[in-house]
Amino acid sequence: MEMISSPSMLKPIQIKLVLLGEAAVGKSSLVLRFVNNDYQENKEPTIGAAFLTQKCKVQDKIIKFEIWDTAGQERFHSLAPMYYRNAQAAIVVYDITNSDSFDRAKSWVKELQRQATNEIVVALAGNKCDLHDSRQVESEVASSYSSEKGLLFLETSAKENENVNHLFKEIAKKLPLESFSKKQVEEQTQNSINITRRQDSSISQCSC
Amino acid sequence: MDIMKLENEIEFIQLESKNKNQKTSFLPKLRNCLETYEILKVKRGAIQTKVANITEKKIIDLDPKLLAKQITLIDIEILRRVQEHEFKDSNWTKMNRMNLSPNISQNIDFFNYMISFVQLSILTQDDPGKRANVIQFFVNVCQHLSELCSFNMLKCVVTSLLDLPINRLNSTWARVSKSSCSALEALSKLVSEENNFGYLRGLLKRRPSPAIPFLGMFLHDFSELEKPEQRQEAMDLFMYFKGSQYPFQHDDSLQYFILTKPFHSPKDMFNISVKVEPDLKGNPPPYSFDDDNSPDIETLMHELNKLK
Repeated sequence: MEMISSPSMLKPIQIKLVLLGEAAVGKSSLVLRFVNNDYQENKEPTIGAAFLTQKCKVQDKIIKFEIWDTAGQERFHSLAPMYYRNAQAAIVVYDITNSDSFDRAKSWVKELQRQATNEIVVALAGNKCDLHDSRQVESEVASSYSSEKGLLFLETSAKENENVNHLFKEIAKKLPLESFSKKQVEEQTQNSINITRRQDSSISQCSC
Repeated sequence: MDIMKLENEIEFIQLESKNKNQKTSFLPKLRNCLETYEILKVKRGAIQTKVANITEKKIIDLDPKLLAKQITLIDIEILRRVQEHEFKDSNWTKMNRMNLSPNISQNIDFFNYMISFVQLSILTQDDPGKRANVIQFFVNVCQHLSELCSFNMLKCVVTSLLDLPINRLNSTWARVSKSSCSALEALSKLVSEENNFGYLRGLLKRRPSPAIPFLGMFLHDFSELEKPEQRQEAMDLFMYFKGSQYPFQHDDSLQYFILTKPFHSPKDMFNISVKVEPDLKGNPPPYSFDDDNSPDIETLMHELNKLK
């Protein structure tokens, strides 16, 4: 995927992406790997980035991913729902060498499908795929679970930079970009926690 | 001194006097005891009436500034006990977090309890107008919290108000004043995750004192940072704020009022919210949180009493 270094070319479409998963599955290294491909924008090493942005080009559109990472804050009630409530995309990460983390990932998927907006694109990422020898979660198991739930699925390695960009690219492709760009022109909502957001339909849309 | 112990002692002295028939030696002792006893009885009565009054009190009758001060005091007392080793290996997120990171866990528990406290205060009001008043009351509390640089509790109260069980109350929010809404929006930006807690980090750089940063920001940093010098930098900052002293007195009866409410999980709270204001368009299904995280308020109160 092509990274954009001069943001002035086109008006980017903002996509809020939330990162979920158990502690120590490598959520943050995944994002840092994705974001740090663009050394221009992130010269300084980010102190535990709870929020990072990365632009990328898909087809002829520029997407600005706003990536929200809940790591370390899992025990606070109500914080994670605030993160993913009006997200357009989510990556649920587990560690292929830890079957508990896969179970936790499944419960996050369940939670997302109940709570988030209908249009949310959910990707399941089996991270640390470089550690074949200690694998506990078989690819086939995760893959068939993902197709059953309608999720994107990839095994990744943040360490070896395997499938990381590919993962974000696949998410971008699946996003209904046309409707997002229209909406954003109309609303210009910059804030994720917007009090006036009550009037919009993102909550009531969830009439699952 | 304990009234029960005093009563026993008085009885003992009286018994001793009968047995020994020596009136002179024990009289001053008895008088002293009785005096303390009377003082204590009056004090206890006063506290009891005070507690009774405040328990009957409505949230809206409280002084938002006093409430902000007392929750700040409770918060800093828990924070002060957090030890350096508790930040290791994201231990506070694990199953046996109570053993590995006891004070961080208690701090998070208090945060979760306060979310329940705020939301329940709103949801127990029986009409949208009253609920709107309580929301405005808590926006007021938030303003005082931000003046006190009490950012952990500010994050907590702001989150309570923006969280789904409260956020979804459309008829209620329609009655909240515009000024309250815009104040809440501004206050929520202070403690927002945006730009990696950019606003809050900027404020904390100036090292205000006293101040309590949002603990979740540190927890996030410590779960991510690997380089020792970065961890040390974050630790130094945490230690600086951990030493914060607020120059106000404990208000026992108000703390009793705050800490003795029932606790409800996010899932329960959502269900309460739907009962209070049913959603005609169809309800989003409830949270599926695993609730192994119920705060232990009894232990918390016990610990706080020990500190006094």
